[in-house]
Amino acid sequence: MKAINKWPYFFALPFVLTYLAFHLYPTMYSLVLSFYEWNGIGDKAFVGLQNYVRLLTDDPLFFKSLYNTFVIMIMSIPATLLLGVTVAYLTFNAAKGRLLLQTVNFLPYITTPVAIGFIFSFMFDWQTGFVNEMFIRLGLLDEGVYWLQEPWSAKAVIALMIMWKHLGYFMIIYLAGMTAISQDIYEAAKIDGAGPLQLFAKITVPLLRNITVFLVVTSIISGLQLFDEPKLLYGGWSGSTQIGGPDNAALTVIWKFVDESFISNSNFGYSAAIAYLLFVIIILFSIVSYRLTAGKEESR
Amino acid sequence: MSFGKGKSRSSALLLFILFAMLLAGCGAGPAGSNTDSQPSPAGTDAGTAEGDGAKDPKQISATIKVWDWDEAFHETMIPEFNKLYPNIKVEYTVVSNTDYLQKLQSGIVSGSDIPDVIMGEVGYRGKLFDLDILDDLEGAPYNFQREQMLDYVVPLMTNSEDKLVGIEQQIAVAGLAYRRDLAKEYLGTDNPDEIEGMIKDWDAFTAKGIEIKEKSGGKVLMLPGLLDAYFVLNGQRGMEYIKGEDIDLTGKMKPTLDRLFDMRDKGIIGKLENGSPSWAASFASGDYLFYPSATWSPKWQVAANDKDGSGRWGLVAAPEGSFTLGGTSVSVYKDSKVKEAAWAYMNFCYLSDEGTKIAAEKFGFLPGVKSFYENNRELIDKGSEFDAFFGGQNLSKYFVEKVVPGVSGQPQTKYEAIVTQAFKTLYPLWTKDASIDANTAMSKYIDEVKSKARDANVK
Repeated sequence: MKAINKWPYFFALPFVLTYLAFHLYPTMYSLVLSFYEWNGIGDKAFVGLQNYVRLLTDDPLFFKSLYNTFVIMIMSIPATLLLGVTVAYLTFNAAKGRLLLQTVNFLPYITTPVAIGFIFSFMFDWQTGFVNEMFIRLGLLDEGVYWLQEPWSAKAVIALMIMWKHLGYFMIIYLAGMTAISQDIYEAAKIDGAGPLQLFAKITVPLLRNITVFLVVTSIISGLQLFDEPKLLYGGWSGSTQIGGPDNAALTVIWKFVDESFISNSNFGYSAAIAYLLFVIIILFSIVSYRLTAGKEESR
Repeated sequence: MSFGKGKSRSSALLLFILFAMLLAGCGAGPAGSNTDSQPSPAGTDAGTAEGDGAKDPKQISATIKVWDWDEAFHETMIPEFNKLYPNIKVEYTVVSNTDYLQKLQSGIVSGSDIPDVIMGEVGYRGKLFDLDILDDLEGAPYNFQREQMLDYVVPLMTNSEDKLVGIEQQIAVAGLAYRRDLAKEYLGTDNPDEIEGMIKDWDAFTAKGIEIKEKSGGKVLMLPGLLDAYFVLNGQRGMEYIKGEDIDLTGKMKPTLDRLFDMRDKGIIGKLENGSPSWAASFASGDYLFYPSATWSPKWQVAANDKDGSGRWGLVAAPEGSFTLGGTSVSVYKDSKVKEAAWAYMNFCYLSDEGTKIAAEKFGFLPGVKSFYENNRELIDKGSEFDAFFGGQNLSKYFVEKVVPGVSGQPQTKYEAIVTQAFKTLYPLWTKDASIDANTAMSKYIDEVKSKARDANVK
């Protein structure tokens, strides 16, 4: 009988142990915690499903945070996809400066979120912000718009932050996809008389479907976990510590989770229930978005 | 390939080491453990405000951990403290006040490093006091007595069970800082006593505001924003409106909202958000006459935001009484293994005659302990570093004589931060939309607090 080769298991062991200790155990512990009431320090009290029941029946702020998260995602994801593929197409076909275009567009993606929060909070400040200043000088406004304190414009600014940050990443992924498309197809289409717009719409976009599926699914997963941008937009100033933006219009699910755990309250059990509900929502939406974007063949 | 016996042994050893490393990473030692602690003899009376009661300071040998955001303070105080307590090593870690409570909770849950001396900034103090992690300073080994502190700070230092779990780092009473140039132009004087007479109550303040607004053609207003006015009005009404799970928000806030909305509707308050870039810039631009100003504000707000404004500022008591603005309590972690040493340091820095004198001279800190004001009259008369910035006005003297007597401390509960946060969430909408009146705002305010304090009965 052939002896079992133990070496592969041995070399995989550090990862497996680390995974068990720092990933699987906390994940399962959070699930257990969601059935308790606990402030993180005193004794835990078992409450069964009460945290979930309360969350779904008696916490309008949870639904508001979920609504805000979806609205911001709807505002940002399709626009970023469209802009990403367009910019990638233009960059891919640029005769000169391709590297420069790639670098410039990718820079926001590697900029620290704190800096992005500062930049946008200064830009959209209603009195001293560059945006209002520009509109007033152009004669388009008499008085500055209260961008960050209007519920809808607050969401729009957050969506803009996401688009600005992720455009470069989307562009790079689309560029990688475009490189993989055979030039023969383009040449054949050109011989058949296809123009640049037709090449883009009939060849590039359909052949990038897998890339789009990947970007949509990952954007929905990360979009549901949105936290950095709104938090930093409203916490970037030295003295400003507004939670959730104006009338909670910028409160996202993860911000609500953090607020319940560490800021307004110390309800670790309740926060764990929020995290698990979000986990279920992410799974559902990942499946739905995959089925919708992948087409019949892939989703079968 | 298969393992030989030797290989088998070495791989088992490696496996064991890996496990050991992992377990070591997961399981830190008991919270606050400190092996070099040698508690001082029982019955140490370090609790006396004079700080000279420890039987023999040199006998206490320990290392204490302090988390604070004020690095400069500890850099100055530790060497002075070590002259009296040479065997107590103080290790401070700079932790931002905005992350403080989160880091503390995470540390306690994970069993990692916990400070022996804990700071409680007013923004999260109620929550901190509610966590039941702080020692009662009126019990052993501290035996401190609340009567030693100024009366108004006692509610700020006690938890909902009336246990004294913190001492005030410095008094944070507040009045109104004003621009002398604007006061001269629109009020005809920059003398604080005369201005105080002109704005004795809020009706007079509002009337003057309307007058100034008209005179300046709407350019100069009384206060920069609703939150600034809220700090004054709300701080003047320190009361026990939260009892257990019952929050009488209307009783506490309705008079404040009525007054706020009246001033907003009469156009005497600006539209700036407290802490925003435009708010900071307004100190120098001279569009607003008054700013709430606590003992710490001359350095951190006025001088910081109006760098060329030396001599341009004055301080006056607010209409209808004083208020508190900000402030930090100092406590001992209840599972600390070095309580006597931690208390010795706290006692030296914030209560003892030697320490408070140094803090007052170096940093302008006015402590919360009564004895300081009995023993150090000359320090108060001497003035502080920022008096020149305020046109030579003796700020310490003004705070002690004019502001402290009328102030009331707000009792701290776990819901205090939620009430303040809810206001911060809503006031920009009330600034923007003048059609919202005080009644509508009150009902919105109650809903907002209810949504965060779900176990509470809010009315």
